[in-house]
Amino acid sequence: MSETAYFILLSLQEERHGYAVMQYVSKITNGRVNLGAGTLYGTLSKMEKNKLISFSFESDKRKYYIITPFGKEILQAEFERLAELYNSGHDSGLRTR
Amino acid sequence: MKTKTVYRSFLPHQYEKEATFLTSMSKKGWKFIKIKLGIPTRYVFEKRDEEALFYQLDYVTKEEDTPDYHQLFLDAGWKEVYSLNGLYNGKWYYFCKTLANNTVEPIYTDNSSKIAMYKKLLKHWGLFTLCLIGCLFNSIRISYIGFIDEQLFTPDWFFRLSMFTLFSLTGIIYFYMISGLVCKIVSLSKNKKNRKAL
Repeated sequence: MSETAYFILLSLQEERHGYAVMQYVSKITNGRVNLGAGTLYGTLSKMEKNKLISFSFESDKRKYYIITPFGKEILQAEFERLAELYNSGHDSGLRTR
Repeated sequence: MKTKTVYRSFLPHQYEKEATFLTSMSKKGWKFIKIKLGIPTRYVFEKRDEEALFYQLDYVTKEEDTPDYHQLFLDAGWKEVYSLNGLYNGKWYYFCKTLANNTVEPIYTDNSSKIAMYKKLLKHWGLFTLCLIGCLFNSIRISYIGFIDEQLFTPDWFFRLSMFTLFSLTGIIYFYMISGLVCKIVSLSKNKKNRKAL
């Protein structure tokens, strides 16, 4: 899973619209990951088509999305994969700075 | 208001270069106003004493061109300054943002979405090119026959020659554009694979 996809799924555990996703991702990564509007729009459409997220409602021309049970499963699997990567690094003596 | 017209042509696969061109004009104090289509295309600018703008182009299909698309770009701080019709009801949008201390994020920030954008362009222009090649091939054949048969200097030889040149040039330009799009997609995909290999 790409970093973009991971962060979008992470932020859509709560109902959010596109720009709110951009802000949230920027906040949790301390400004390291700033998703472009084009990238976000395209990825949201693709994820909706692949049933990872679903459209919930539209307000003030902003579409709100939420993660689907299938999306949650995929996110959980990716999280576990990343945790394994992290843990094996940690066990070998690596520490975050 | 002082205006300036610059002759410049960009093909669809050069849309990033087009955005860079508009940004560099803006840095010189020329604000982009509009495009007059033709060969070559004319870009009209106005002299402005304001902050330099950073330009980005996006291409959307008819299905993607929804109110929430425009709202998202607006929310993200992009001002829509111009639009141009593409093929099959697709549309080019020209967005800009003030160039605050040179740190404006482009609208496509990862490889996958850039590839998706180029694939969209390839789909639209590729389909169009296929139709065109069908027509062109026949036209080239007909105009070319005039040169090889014994009636070389029929009264319409000039007409045939111009048609042959025109059709061939059109064919070459389209071929150049399609190969440009394919090259972009291939190099972006390679880039992606390399990063995965790391």
